[in-house]
Amino acid sequence: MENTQTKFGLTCASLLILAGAALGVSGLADWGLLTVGLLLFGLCSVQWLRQRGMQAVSLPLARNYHPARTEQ
Amino acid sequence: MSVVAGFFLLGFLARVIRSDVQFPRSLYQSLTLFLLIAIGLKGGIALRDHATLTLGWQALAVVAMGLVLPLIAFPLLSRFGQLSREDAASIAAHYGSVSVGTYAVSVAMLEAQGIHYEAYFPLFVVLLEMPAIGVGLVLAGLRSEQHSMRDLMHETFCNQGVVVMVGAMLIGYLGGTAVDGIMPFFGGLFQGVLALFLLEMGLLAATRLPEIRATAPFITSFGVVMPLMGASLGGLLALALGFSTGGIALLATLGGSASYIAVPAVMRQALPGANHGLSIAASLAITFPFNVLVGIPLYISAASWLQPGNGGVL
Repeated sequence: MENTQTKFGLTCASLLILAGAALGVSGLADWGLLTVGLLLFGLCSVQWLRQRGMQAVSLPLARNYHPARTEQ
Repeated sequence: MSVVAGFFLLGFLARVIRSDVQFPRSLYQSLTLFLLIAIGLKGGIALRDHATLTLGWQALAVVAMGLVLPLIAFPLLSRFGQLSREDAASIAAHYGSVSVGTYAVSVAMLEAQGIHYEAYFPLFVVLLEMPAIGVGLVLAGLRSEQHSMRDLMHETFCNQGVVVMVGAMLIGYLGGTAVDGIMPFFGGLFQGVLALFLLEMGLLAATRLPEIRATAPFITSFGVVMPLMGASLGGLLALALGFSTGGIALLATLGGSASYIAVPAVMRQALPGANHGLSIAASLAITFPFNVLVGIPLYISAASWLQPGNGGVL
């Protein structure tokens, strides 16, 4: 569930950065949209890394878990 | 950045640094009433001169926009946010409805920049309050036997925002020149009262922010992207309806804003199982600040680009 949410966030942030940069360069708007996009990208990246980190820790633990060995 | 938006930031920062800035609840209520009356009166006065058949068609198109917006938000919330049906429907209703506070900020920014707009827009604000609520309830799969429809209808049509604004609009419309006597108070003090209102909104937004922690990446993205989608729809509709530059910016603002007063009250009653903290936090702590600080200036720039040199009709 969190993975889908984070991917959505990263996609939106990337689109905002592109749109913000395009609008800023064209002079149509200030750099507010780009700033929001970058902040959002940072937030989603931290979340994504945290999820990856948790997977990296939990998967090997799960792989090494053998009920029989635990009982001995 | 506009002066009124500066007060919003001040309130937000005051709460973040844990300053003991206090805002009496009754004053907040008084300021809300002031803004509703001021906006309604201004709209009523403008309606005196613009009550035509064209306005009826424009109103119908705006109501249609109010019906479509929750239908755009709902799939995003349920598919990408993977929220429950009730939560997704409740948040979709918030984003289909409008925020009077955001509208007031947009009006203040347009007036500060000397951009004219169709002053009968308060009619659209009132009309846009309701359709999203109905769509939200249908999306949630609400059946009439589950709740008292009478109570829901009462909450939808008789909430403070609708009653006071419609009442003030009627007074402005029917009052004739007698209304001019109270306009120095409701017109002249508008910007100052809005600044105070935004100070409190900044405090409230910062207070609500921790509530989105569990779903922060998604709900923050949604709270920023959905207003942009709504504003694009509103702006294009306004362009198609032939509004002025200010009118395009205002309809974009209405399309991009999310309710945090009227809809929460109805949804709390209709969908008690939904996470109401999440919906209010999204609209108040994410979308409102985004619109005030980034969205509205962007909508005004885009409107000026779409409709260059068209200062408006009023």
